[in-house]
Amino acid sequence: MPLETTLSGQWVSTGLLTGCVLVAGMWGGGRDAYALEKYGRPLPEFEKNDGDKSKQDFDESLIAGYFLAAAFVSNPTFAARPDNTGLVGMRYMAHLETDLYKKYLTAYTDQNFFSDREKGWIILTEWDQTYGMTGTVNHWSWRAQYERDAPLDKSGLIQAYADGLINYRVRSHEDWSWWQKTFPKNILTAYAGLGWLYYNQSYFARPDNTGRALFRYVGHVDLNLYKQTVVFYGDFNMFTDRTASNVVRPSELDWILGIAVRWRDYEVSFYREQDLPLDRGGLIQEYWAVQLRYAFDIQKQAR
Amino acid sequence: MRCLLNNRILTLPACVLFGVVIGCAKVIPSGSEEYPAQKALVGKVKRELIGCAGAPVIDRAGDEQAMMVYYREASQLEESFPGSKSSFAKVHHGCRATILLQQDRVIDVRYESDPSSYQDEDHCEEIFERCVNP
Repeated sequence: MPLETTLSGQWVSTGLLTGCVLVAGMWGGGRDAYALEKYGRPLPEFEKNDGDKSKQDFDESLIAGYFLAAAFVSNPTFAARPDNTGLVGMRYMAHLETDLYKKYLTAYTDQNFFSDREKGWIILTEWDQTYGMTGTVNHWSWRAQYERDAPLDKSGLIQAYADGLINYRVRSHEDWSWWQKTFPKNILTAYAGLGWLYYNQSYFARPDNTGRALFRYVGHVDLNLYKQTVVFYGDFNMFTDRTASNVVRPSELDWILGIAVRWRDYEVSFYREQDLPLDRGGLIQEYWAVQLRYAFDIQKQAR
Repeated sequence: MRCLLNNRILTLPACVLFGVVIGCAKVIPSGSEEYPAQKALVGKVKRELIGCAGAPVIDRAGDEQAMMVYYREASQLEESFPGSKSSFAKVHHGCRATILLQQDRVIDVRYESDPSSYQDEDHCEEIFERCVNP
């Protein structure tokens, strides 16, 4: 009973947080939300004549992305294959993206690999592939992606789906003047969104591999603690079960809390993830990890 | 019970960390901030500027005045989150620095975030890092 109460409480509080972010952002979006003009003396007439050119899009990225390696320093239950066997030791990931039309249309792929600490940490046991398109328009962003999670060291269960997702973004220095006044150096950015797994071959709705996912509710928060070099972040992802009596009620919550330290193109982060069922008891998958990430950006032409 | 315990364990250090950092943060009035490179660049000649910041994306010469524009896109570390259930795309953004020169010397440096509402002028400072700390 106490466990049930706790789980319900988590669901309710997570839902409330999502709602607050969405409502507060929409409410505050039009009020006192002006851009700062830092050292903003108007430039002389010269710039006016060249105004159009100086405002053009200068991002000449051909392919950008990052590589990461994460060691699961403590992992009692996070599985190393889609069929929930093994325990993850290492995670490796490559993220690649290219803008097809500015920031409005970007193609991306994620390639995730996991190893099993019970098989010596080295041999890769799972390969998760994601291919998608994403874009941003003002506070809104969207994405459509296909994901396929498959075992690597033996044949077995494959989990695959395709989904669409819409997100709304709130940024403290854009939307909340009170935050900007109170914490001028600490920008908070939050996202909340709703997704639909319109195609689901075999993607489960709970960590114990039961049900089939239908909707997903997502949220993400970044709190810039010091000049984008120290960032505290939180992330949650909920699924609903299309085979349940209530298909909009979350059946799984995956949450992450972490802190990242960045220097140039490198980032070291320490974080905790827990994936737990919400509508019944069952397997909870969780771990602590240390992660190194390296970002790159290949330009179309050398300047 | 285990969930409850985990939440308590996580919440406490998170609150302490948040409090310490926010509490110790220096509060500077909005809108009046001048970044170190903005000050340091004024008075430099064009050759010095190109020597430490590289070639600009726009270099326009005039009779009396000249203008140079630099741009720096934010790192992917800021623009994508690598969640275990696939990555999470964030806003693509960057900073544009417009330098005005008169008789070959910098007289004004202006930073503008792109998109304009996404205030993150620190990326302009990165462009001129070597000009401030050679």
